[in-house]
Amino acid sequence: MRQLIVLLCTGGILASLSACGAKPDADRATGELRMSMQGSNDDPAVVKRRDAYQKYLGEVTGRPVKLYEASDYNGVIQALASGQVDVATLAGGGYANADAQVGNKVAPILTTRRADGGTGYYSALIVKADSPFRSIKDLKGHSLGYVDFNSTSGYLYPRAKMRAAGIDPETYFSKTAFAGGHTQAVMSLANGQFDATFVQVSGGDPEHGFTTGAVYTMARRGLVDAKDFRTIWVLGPVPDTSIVVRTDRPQSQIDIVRGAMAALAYDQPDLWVDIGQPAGSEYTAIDRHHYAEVIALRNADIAQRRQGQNEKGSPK
Amino acid sequence: MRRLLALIGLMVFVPGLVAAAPFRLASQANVTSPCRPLTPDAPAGQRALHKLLAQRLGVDVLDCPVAGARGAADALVAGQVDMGLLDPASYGSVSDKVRAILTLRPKNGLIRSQIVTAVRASGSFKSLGDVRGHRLLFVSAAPYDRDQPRKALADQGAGPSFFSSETVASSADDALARLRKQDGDVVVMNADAWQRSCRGAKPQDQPCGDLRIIWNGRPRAERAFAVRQDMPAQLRYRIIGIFVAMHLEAPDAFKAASAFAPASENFDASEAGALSPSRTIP
Repeated sequence: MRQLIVLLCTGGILASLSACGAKPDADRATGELRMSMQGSNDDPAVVKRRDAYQKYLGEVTGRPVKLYEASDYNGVIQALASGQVDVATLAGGGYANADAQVGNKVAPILTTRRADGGTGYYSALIVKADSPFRSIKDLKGHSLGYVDFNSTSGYLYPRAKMRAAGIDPETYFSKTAFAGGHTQAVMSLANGQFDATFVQVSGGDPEHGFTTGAVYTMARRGLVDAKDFRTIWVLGPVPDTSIVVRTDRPQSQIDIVRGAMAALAYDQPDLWVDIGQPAGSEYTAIDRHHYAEVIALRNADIAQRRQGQNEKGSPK
Repeated sequence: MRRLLALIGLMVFVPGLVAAAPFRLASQANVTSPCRPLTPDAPAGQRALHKLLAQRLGVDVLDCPVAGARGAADALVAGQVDMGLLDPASYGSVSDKVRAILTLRPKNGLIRSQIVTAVRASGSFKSLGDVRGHRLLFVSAAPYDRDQPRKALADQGAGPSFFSSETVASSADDALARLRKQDGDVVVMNADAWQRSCRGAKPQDQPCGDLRIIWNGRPRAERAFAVRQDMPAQLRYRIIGIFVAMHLEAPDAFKAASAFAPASENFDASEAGALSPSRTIP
């Protein structure tokens, strides 16, 4: 009996040692999976998507999924960069911000590929339909609303493309401000706070028009009438939103999350559409290179603004 | 007895000492033979594939030569391999025990998107078989609007000769307008185009309420990696997660895994019945 006790104790010690051994990630991921998605609880589509991801990922990982709700871009970025969450959905600009903060501790793993093969959406400059503005040239000296400093289609791309077109976004408009989100940007335009704003559009292309994006989603909820707005400039395509993970989590769990999400469009096509994904699309694997242009645009924009601030502050 | 108890104690307390079951990967060969570790003289790509899978799955990986897709299907059903490459013919006889999990997307090619086939709701057509000899409308000549829907219909038994005519419209809205005007009898398009045209702009909108979907589905895969249906879901998703990113993370391993279709871009996940040879129209 003594020998048995000794053997059991030896086994226990070995077990505790083996936990630090050759398979560090095999069994460590037993706690909750923490996920963050940006969006307002006032938007039924956001709530539905969050609930669906929570249920689905809970089932496939066998772990309770805790959702960290964030009302703005920065909330998701900081939760991911600080390691408070394991997985998040982020647009390119948000990922570029997280990448600048923690580098390869975060990585994009999946983005949406549509039926036509594309993996991007567009940025649209919209004005009120009853306004006199027909092109960006008409907006000189007028006010412009951006979505958020971290928004790709509502800030980074438009500013880069304006500069490419010879427009200095710092001086061209009488006033610029951040609305805080795509929905808020559309509402601000509708309420007359801005003369124009850039928002994301998708579900189409410049040739055939668009059917999804803030204006269309809000119209389907009865919040606005899409006919009250006019698109005067379309930019893109912009690399679509991605699922981003913390790379310091167990690789096995990253693989399971990636595999489960990649399978979703095929195993549950109705749920895929129900959570707001384009019908007939799928999640396709990506890595940091997918956002190389967005990262470069963000760096260039920050450098331009710093240069502008230095020039303003320097003695003449 | 004491020794037995001691052994049990060790197994309970030291799970790492208990060898996990190896992952048995079928490989194409002339004859089926037992699984074994890859020999050192195996091609570099195959060694890279086995190394990647061993690292990521945390178990040994064995090479299991099988005689073609039929051999892979038989070995899957017999529980002799964990994953193998099947085609529709070999899948047909094992579809009750096996499912597809991964297909290959051709270089610069399309994903296996869902296809929607619709008719006027006021008409008598209720199924794909009912539209034999009638006029088909495509929404454009783009590959995702014409070639892929055409293949999906042909997979179901509705090949080019099935319809009396084929017309290519200028857009999805144009195709639907022609259908409503009875300038065509059935329209086929990818689900993305259908959603764009039929989701409406206001809460109560039902722009396609006057139409009826008579078939929707995906084009059949030519080949797919398949596993047993009773494979634990987490292992299945883990395998999918490794393979869909393989072209980015381990290009040599990807080259070996996709050697059966060399001009491929990446692995995509697939639905269970991606290889199903069954047809809507006999």
